[in-house]
Amino acid sequence: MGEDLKFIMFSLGHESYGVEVDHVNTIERMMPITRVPKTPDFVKGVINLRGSVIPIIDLRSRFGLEETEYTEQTRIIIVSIKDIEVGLIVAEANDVFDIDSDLIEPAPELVGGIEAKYLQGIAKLDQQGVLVLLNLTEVLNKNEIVQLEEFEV
Amino acid sequence: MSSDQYLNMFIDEAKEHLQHLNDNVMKLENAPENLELVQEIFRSAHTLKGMSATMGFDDLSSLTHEMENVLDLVRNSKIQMNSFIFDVLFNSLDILELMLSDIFEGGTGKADVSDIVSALHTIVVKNHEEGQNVERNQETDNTAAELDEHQYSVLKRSLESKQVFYIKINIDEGCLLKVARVFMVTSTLEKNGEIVKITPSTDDIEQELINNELLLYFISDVDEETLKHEILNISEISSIEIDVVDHHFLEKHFVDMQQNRTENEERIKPKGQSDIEKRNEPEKQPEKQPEKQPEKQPEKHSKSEKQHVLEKQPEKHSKSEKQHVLEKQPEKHSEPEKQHEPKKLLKTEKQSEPKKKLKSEKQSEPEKKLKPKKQHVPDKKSVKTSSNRTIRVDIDKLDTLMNLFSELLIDRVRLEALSSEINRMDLTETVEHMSRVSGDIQNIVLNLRMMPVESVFNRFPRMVRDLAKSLNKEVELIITGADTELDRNVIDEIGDPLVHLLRNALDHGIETPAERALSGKSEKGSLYLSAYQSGNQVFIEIEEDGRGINKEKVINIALKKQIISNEEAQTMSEEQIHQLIFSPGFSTADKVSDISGRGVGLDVVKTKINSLGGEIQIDSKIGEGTKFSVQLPLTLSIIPAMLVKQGEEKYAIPLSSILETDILQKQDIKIVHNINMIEYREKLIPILFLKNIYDIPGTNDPADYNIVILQKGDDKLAIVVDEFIGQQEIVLKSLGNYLTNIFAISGATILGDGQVALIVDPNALFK
Repeated sequence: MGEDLKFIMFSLGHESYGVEVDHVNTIERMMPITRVPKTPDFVKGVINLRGSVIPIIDLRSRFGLEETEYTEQTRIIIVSIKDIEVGLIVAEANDVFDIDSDLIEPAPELVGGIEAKYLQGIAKLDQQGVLVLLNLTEVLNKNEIVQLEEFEV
Repeated sequence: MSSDQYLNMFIDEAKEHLQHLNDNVMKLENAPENLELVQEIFRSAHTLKGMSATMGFDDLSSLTHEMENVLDLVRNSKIQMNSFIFDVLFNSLDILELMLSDIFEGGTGKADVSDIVSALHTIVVKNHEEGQNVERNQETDNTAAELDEHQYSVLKRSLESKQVFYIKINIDEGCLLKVARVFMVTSTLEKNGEIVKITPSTDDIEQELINNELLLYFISDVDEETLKHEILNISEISSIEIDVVDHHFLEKHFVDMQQNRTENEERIKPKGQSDIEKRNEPEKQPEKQPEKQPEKQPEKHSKSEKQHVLEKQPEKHSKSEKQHVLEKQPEKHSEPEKQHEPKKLLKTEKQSEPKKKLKSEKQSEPEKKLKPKKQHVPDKKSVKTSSNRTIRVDIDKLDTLMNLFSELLIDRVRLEALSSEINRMDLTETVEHMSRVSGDIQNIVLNLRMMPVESVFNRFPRMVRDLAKSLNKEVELIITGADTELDRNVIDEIGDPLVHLLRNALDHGIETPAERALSGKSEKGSLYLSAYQSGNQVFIEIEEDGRGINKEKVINIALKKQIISNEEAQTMSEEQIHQLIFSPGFSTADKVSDISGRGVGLDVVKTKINSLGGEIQIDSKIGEGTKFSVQLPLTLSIIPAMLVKQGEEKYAIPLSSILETDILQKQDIKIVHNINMIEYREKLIPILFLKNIYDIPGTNDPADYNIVILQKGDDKLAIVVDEFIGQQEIVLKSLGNYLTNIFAISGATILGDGQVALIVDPNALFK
C-alpha cells in the first residue's frame, strides 16, 4: 500500500476528474462573472469572491473541449498553486476521495480529448471506475494565455 | 530559543540606527567640532553593536566595535576628525548596510571586514603615536604604581581561585616603538588572563612616558612558564620576571603603596591635579612602557587600564554579553569603573565610596556595571519618550485592515443604493450617518498607510555626498518637505527613480567647479530636492542650477537614433523635446560615464513613475539649470474614478486622467489619416470607442456620443462610452497573478452591487 492521497472529485460531463485537495480552497456555486477583454476564450472573466477578484477558467474550454451550458450543478472550484489563484468551472463537484498512490498510473496520451500533459495520471477505483487526476501546474500554465496584439487606433 | 521572532525587530531597528549614523556623520562632516554629534553617533554605534551581538551577528558587532574605538577618541578630543576618518566611517557604514541587507535576505550577515577594521585600527594606533609625541614632554613623575583599594580587593579575591602574578618585563633599550611593544605584551597577556594593574599607567604609556620596565599585576589560569614563554616570544623583550603573588605579598605592596601615595601627594600636589584630570578623561590607550618606576609597587590598576589599551573604549562594554563573546574576556568588564576613581586619592573616605559602588555592582552582574551604562541611560530615555508615541505595526496587518475596510466601502455604496430605493426617512438618515462615519474611517485607514517621504529622502544626502566627491564636484543638497506623506506602496517604489534623477542631476546637470566659475556661478552647485502635496497629488521636485538641457543636442541625437522624424523635430514643443530624454536608449552624454548618461535609463524612471500612476515633467533653461517634477498619486489603493457603462459592462476610469466629459454629435468626428479625430479646444485629438477597445458586444449607435476626454501629459484623447454612471471612490484590486498584462486594464474594483468592474488604464491608450 502506498500513501493515501486526497482528491476532490468533479466531472466535466461524462468523465470523473480529481484535483489534489491541498490545492483546493473552496467550491462555489456559479456566480456573476465579469468578462475581461483581450484574454483567451477559456478565461471567462473575474468574480468577486468575498472581496477578492479571482479569474475564472472554463475547464472544458481550457482543454479544448466543446463548452456546455451551465446548470444548477455547475460549480467553481477555487484552486491555488504557488501565488496563482484561479476558479475552475466544472460541471459538477463531488466528495473528497482517498486514493492509494499505488493505484495511480501514468495517463495515456489522450483522455476524453485532454492531452496527457494536463494530467497527472489516472486512478482505477472500484465504484467510480476511472478517475483522471489533473496536473494543475500545467492547467494553470500562464504561458498559454496568449496575449492578443495591442489595440490599434 | 529562537531569535527569529526578534529578527525583524532587529533589522528594523538596526536600519534606523544605521540611518541615524549616516545622518549624523554627514552632519558631523559639516560641523566637525560638534562633540554632541559625536556622542550621538557613538551611542547609535554602541546600541547597534549591542543589538548585533545579542543576535549573534559577530561581524556586525565587531565592526561597530572598531568604529566605537575611533569615535571614542574623537569624543574625547584625542583626535580630530579628518576626511580620511570620515571616509573610513562612511565605508564602515556601507559595509554595515550590506551586512544588514544580507541578514534581511536570510543570510548570516557575514562579511569580510578585515580591511575596514584595519583602517579603523590604523586611525586609533596613529592617534597613539601622535598623542605620545605631543604629550611626551609633560612631566612624568607620578609613576609610583599604586594599587587602589578596588584593585587590591580584586586581586585578593582572585587569589582564592586563581593565580596572581606580579610580572616585571624589561624591554630592549634600543626598542623604537615601545608603545607597540607594550601593546603586544598586554594583548598576549590578555589572552591568558586579566591584567589588574599595569605600571606605568595607561595614560603614561600612551604618552610614551615609558622607560624600559613594565610592571603588571596579572590574574591567570596559565602557569608561569607558559606566560614567560609567550612573552619572550615577542621580540625586543629583554627579560621577564614573574613572581607568584600570595596574600602576604599583596598586603605588603598595598600598604607600601598607600604610604607612598601619601608622600607622593604631598610632594606633588600641583602636579597631581593635572594627573587626575588626565585620568578622568575616559580612556586612553596606553601602550608603551613604563618609564621609570622608582618604587616597585606596581599597582594593580593595570587591569582597567589595559583594557583601555586594547579596546580604547570601555563604554562599549556596557552592552550585553555579546561583547564578552567578542572580546573573550568577560571578566575584565567587571572592573572598568575603576578608571574613574582618581587613582591618586589620598583620603580614605574617597576611596571607600567608589569602592562600595563597585563592589555591589560586581556582585550582581559584572556586565552591567560598566560605565557605559551611564551613557546608555540617557540614550534610552530619549528613545523611549519618542517611541512611546508610536507603535510598530506589521504592514500586512494594515493591508488586511485596508481590505476589510474596502469591503465595508462596497457595502456602504450598496446600502446607499438600497436606501434611496426604499426611501424611508430613518433608514436614509442611518445610512447617511454611516456614510459619514465610514468616510472618516477611510481617511484614518488611508492615513495609517502614509509615511513621510523622509524615509526615502534620508538616504540621499549620503549618496549625493559620495557622488559629488567621486565626480569632483561641489554640491549642496537642500531638502525640503521631507515630512510630506505618501502611501507606503508608493514610498517603496519611488526610491529608485529618485536616485536615478539625482545621479543624473549631479552628473550631467551640475558643472564642475571650474566650469561654474567660468560661467560666473558659485563653484558650489545647488541641488534642491523638495516634496509637497497638492490636492490628491504629491509632487517631488529635483532641481539644480546646472547647465540645463541643450535642446539642439537632444534633437540631433533623437534624429540620429531615429526616435523622431525631421518633420516632428520642426513642430515639437519645448516640453516635448525635453521628454525625448526619456526615450529608451537615449543619451546626450558625450562619453559614457559609469554614473549616468542623461537619458541612459531615464526611460526606466519614466516607466516606473507611470506605473505608479504618476507623471514626470522637465523644465530646463540652458545655463540656468533643470527641474524634474514628479507627480504622484497620494495613494494607490483607493482612488476617485468615473464609472461608465458600455453595453452591459461597467468600467471605471481614474479621475486623475480625466480632463472632462462632454457630449458630441456623431458628425463632429473627422477622419484624418484614417484615424477618427475630433476638434477639442482648437486642436485635433483622436477619438476612440470603448466598445472597440475592449471588444464589447452591443450594437448601440446613438447620434449623440458621450465622451470622456483623457489626458496624459500634453496629449489628449477622447473615448466614447454609452453612459456615465457617476463618480465614486473605488478600491483598487489586482487581477492576481494569473491574468497579468491585460491590455489597457490596470486592475479591478468591486461595485456596490458586488459586481466586479475593470479599471481602465488610460496611459495604455496613448501611444
